[in-house]
Amino acid sequence: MIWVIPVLAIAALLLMGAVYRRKLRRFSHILEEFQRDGTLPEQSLRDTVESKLESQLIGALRRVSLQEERARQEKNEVARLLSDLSHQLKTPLANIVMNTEILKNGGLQSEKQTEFLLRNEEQAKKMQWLMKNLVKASRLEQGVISFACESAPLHETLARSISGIYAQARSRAIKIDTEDFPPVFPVHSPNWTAEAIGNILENAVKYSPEGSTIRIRVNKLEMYVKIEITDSGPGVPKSEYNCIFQRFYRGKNTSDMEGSGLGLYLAQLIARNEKGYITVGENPQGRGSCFAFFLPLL
Amino acid sequence: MEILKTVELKKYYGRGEAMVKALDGVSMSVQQGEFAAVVGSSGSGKSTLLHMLGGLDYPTEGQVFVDGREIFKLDETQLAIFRRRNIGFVFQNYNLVPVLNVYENIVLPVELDGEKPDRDYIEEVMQTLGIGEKRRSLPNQLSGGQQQRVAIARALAAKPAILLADEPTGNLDSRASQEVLGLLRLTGERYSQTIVMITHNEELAQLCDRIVRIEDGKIRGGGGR
Repeated sequence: MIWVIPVLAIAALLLMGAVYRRKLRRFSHILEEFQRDGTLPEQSLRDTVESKLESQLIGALRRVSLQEERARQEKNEVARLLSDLSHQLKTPLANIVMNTEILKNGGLQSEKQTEFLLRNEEQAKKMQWLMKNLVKASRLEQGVISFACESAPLHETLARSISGIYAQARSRAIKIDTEDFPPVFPVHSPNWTAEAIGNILENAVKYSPEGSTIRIRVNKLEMYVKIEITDSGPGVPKSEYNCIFQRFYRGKNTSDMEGSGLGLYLAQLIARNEKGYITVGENPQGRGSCFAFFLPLL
Repeated sequence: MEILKTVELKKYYGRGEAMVKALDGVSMSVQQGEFAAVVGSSGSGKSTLLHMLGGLDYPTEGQVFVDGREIFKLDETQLAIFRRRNIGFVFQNYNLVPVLNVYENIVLPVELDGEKPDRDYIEEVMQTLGIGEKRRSLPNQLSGGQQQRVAIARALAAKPAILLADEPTGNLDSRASQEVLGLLRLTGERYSQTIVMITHNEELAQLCDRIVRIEDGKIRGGGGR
C-alpha cells in the first residue's frame, strides 16, 4: 500500500497547479480586457492575497488611464484656446476692412474721417493684443507637458516681471513697491514665472486707480515661497474666487474694461506646471485684491 | 469617468418632533481625478455626507456608489476590505499615534493590513510633503501643519484611489492651511487621486476644481451631473 502516498502527492500537486493556473488566468483576463477597451472589472473583496493583488492591479491600471486622460485634456485645452483666440481675431479684422472701405470711398467730413481712423486704431490695438496672447498660448502649447524648473533666484525673476510692466504703470502714475526680502531660491522656471507674475501685475495696473500703489511682498514659508501682490482696485468678490482663473472668465463688474479672460488662466496654468499655485483674497489694508503666488522650495 | 455618486441620500436622527435631518436627499457625483470641495456651515450635514461617502456610517435611505459599486450592499467584512483598499481619510485632528515616530505612523495602516510598506514610494511621499527630515520625530515635536502632512502621507501610504478629507485645515493657521492645501492638490495630481474635501472656508476651496455647496442637508449648487 506504500504506492498510495506518491500517487496522492502527485494528485495534490496537479490540483494545486490547476487552482493556481485558474487564478493567474483571472489576472491575464483583467489585463487583456484593459488593453482591448480600457475597461476594468469589479474588485473581488475577499481577504486573500490574490484578491489584494487584484485590487492593486486594478488600481494601478486605473491610474494609468487617468494620467493618459489628463494629458489628453491638457492638450485639448490649449488647442481649444488657440482656436478660440484665432477666431477672436476675425471681428476686429473685419471691422478694419470695413472702416478702411468707408474711408477709401471718401465723401466724409474730416470730423467723421478722424472718428473712423480712431476706430481703426482701436481695432488694430485689439488685434495686436490678441496676437500677443496667441503667441503666449502657442508657446505654452509647446511647453505644456512640462517645462524645466530649477532652483533660481527669485529677485531676478521678480525684477524681470516688474520691468515688463513698468512703462504701463508709469503712464498711470502707479507705483510698484516691493518690500525688501532676503535671497530665496524657489524651484521654478524664471521665464515662465516672470510671465505669470507679469500677467497678475498687468491686471493690478489695469484695475488700480491712477496714482495708487501696488505692493509686492515675499515671504518664505516652510514648503513654499509666497509672493503677494496687493492692489487697490475694485477687488474680486468672494463668490468669484473659484472662477477667475478659468479660461475666458471675466469678472461680473469688469465689463467696461478691455480684457480677454486669459491672463490669470495662463498664470495659473504656469504655476501648476511648476507645482505651485495662485490664490486670490482681499487686500488686508482695505479696498482691493491680494493675489498670492506660491512656488515650491524643493 | 464618474467615481463617486450619491442618489437621494438621507440621514435622519431621532424621530417624530425631535427628528433631525442631517442629510435630506443629497444627489451628487464626482469625476475621477477631480478635487472637489464640499462647502457648508457647521451643522449643514457636510461631515455626515463625507462619512457616508467613506462607508463609515449607514444612511437612513438612498445609495452611495463608489467606482460603480453600491457600497452599502456589501457585507461588513467586504465593506472593510473595500475601504482599506480604495479610500484614504484625513481628519481635522490628525489622529497620529503619539508614541510612534513619523515613519512608523505613516506605515502603520499598511502594516496592520499585513503588508510590507513600499519603501521607495513612502520615501517619495515624505519628500513631496516635506517631512523626509522628520522621519524619526515624534508627533508632539512637530508643528500642526507638519502633523497634518504626516496624516496625509499616512492616508497616501496604501495608494488609495479616493481621498476623503474632513476639515483638514480646521486646526491650522492660514499660512499652514494654504501649504497643506497646495500639497493636497499636488499629491492628488501626482498620484492620480480623486479628493473630496469638507470645509467651511470658501477661501480655501478656491484651489479645488469644483465647489459643492450644502445647506440644511441639501445641495445648493455644484452637485455635478
